[in-house]
Amino acid sequence: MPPYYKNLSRFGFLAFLAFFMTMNLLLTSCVDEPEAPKIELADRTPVAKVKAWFEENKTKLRLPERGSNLRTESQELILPFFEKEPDWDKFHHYYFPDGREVFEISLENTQKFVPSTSSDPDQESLAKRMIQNILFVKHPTENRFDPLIVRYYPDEETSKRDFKEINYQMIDEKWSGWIDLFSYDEHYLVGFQIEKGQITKSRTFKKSSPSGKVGIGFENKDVRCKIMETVWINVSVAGSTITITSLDTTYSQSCSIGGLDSSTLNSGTASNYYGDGYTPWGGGSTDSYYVPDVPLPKLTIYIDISISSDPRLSCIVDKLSMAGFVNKIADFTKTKDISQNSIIKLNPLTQGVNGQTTIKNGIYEITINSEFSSLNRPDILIARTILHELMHAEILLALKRNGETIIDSEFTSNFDKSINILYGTSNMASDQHHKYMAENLLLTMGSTLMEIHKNSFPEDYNKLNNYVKAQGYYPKGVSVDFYINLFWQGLEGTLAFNQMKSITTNPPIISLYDRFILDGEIAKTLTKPCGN
Amino acid sequence: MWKLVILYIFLNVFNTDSPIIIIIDDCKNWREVKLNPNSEKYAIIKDIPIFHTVSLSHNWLNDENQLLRKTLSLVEIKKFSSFYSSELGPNNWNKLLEYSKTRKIFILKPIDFCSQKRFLFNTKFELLEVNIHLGGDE
Repeated sequence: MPPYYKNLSRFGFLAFLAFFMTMNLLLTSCVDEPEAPKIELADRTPVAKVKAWFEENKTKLRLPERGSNLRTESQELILPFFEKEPDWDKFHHYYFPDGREVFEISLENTQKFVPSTSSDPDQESLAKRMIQNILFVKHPTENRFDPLIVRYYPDEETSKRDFKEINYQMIDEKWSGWIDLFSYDEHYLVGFQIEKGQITKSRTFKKSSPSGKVGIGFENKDVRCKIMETVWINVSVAGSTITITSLDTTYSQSCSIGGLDSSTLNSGTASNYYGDGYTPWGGGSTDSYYVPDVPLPKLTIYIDISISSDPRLSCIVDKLSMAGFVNKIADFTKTKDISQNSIIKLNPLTQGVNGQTTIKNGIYEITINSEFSSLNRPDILIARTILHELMHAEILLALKRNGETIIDSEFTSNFDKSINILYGTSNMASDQHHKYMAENLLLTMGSTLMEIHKNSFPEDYNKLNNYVKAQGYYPKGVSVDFYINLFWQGLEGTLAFNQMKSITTNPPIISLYDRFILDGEIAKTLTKPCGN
Repeated sequence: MWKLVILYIFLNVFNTDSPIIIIIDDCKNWREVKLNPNSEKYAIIKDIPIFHTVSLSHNWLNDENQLLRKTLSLVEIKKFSSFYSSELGPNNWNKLLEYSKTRKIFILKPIDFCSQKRFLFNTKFELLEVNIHLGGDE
């Protein structure tokens, strides 16, 4: 039976009252009250800070006039300035190896500059596949960002990438093309040719052919540098209308990375390639803009599931990746994307091999042996093996980049020297990488391993330090020599190792070889802080 | 080699927790690590194929990880699973390393075995518990 209401009129009045009050509330709340305080939730995301800074400072981001430009007498290439319109929703956030924070943001502008050469006259399709971004490099000490314009010119359609697929520190192993850097107001700085993820050449532009002795299209007798006439084109896209305007003729000088004067190869940063047209503007007033120093494009190492699913190995790789030097040469990522050119994995290897580095389909594959004989070692020795293999990968990369590497400003001559010493000896089959490491990298590797031990495994390090002091092995505490000796183990058989081994001493002076054996023995007693 | 195979079977099936004793009989092939002579620690190392080196360490950083010592005569030693180091190849060392996960490994030092003491009746030898370490290519 349905409910029966004795007094319907009273219920109707109450319902009307409720309706009236609700409507009143709704209507009054829609009335704009100009005096009422408004509360806005500020966008506190990191990119919002960059945006705010840019909006406030964008009028100041012009390099000082130097009285000339492309359109007058200057040798410097300065393209026409246009107001940059960053698309703040499309950004990459990363850090340079030296720790500076970087935001790389897509430019919405429809205006694009493309270089046109006789060998590649199709500017329209190049303009369609190119990407132009703006880098905001956080100043290390001041509250400001120094912008740079980066333009990616893919060689072919196969190298065309979406914004999210490429950035200055994430070039995949299949990408080929040119990356050109400009100041915010379009002063050309430097360009890098990338072939399948590797830097092969750098280039600069001048208004006239550099030096009278080199003609257009003529390959310099130095072989490593090439001059090419290049016309810069301004391409504007408005809907389906494409406007193409030729700017001016310039001359690019592109040089093999290994062919550059060694004085320009001293720190592995792009600023070393800025060339004689580059002047480090600013640096004084906080109001002035100056072109930030940027590192060379860097590739990343993918941590395979075999490592990431192994708590101990994963922990060791994490600790290793925190070391400053390791950070400079490699980024470790657990995200598998097309940017990685190296992979680190845990797999069974041949007996007697702790780790190995190979190239498979252009990928540097670092494998740590999963066999008990390899893993039943203290964490610091496994870290040593990984670091050793990382050096192999970096050497392979340097050879592919014609000697360009952050580990050694004179890699080409030092590596050649390592090979040349082998001539006339019976040691021709000796591993050239190991020989190079023994002669050039031991101090760097030893210092890095010591840093890892001290900072990432402090308890283990302190135990060692107390022990070697108490036993008199290192009366002043453990030194980098101890860690260098650990690296000698992977370098046995090299000429340098045999030379070290042959040096004899009279007691009580302990020989280098005995010290190597002793330190290796002490290291075996270290622990496994990352677990068993 | 067949003796070793039988020993492995014996070790695995019948004797899963008793110690294994390695008699260092190829004394000249081993090099003593120059540890502090005033300490009771001891380590020897030998070049072997594949792994480059095998080392046997009676060595520790902290006293809580101190390794054991035993005193036995040759006759008593023979009652345990024992091997002569001269008969062990790289694969055998690798296998012994795996056994060491569950069983203690002791050595009879070369300085004792390769001495006159071996020929004296009922002489007691000091055995040292060791950790086995194998080298490797990188």
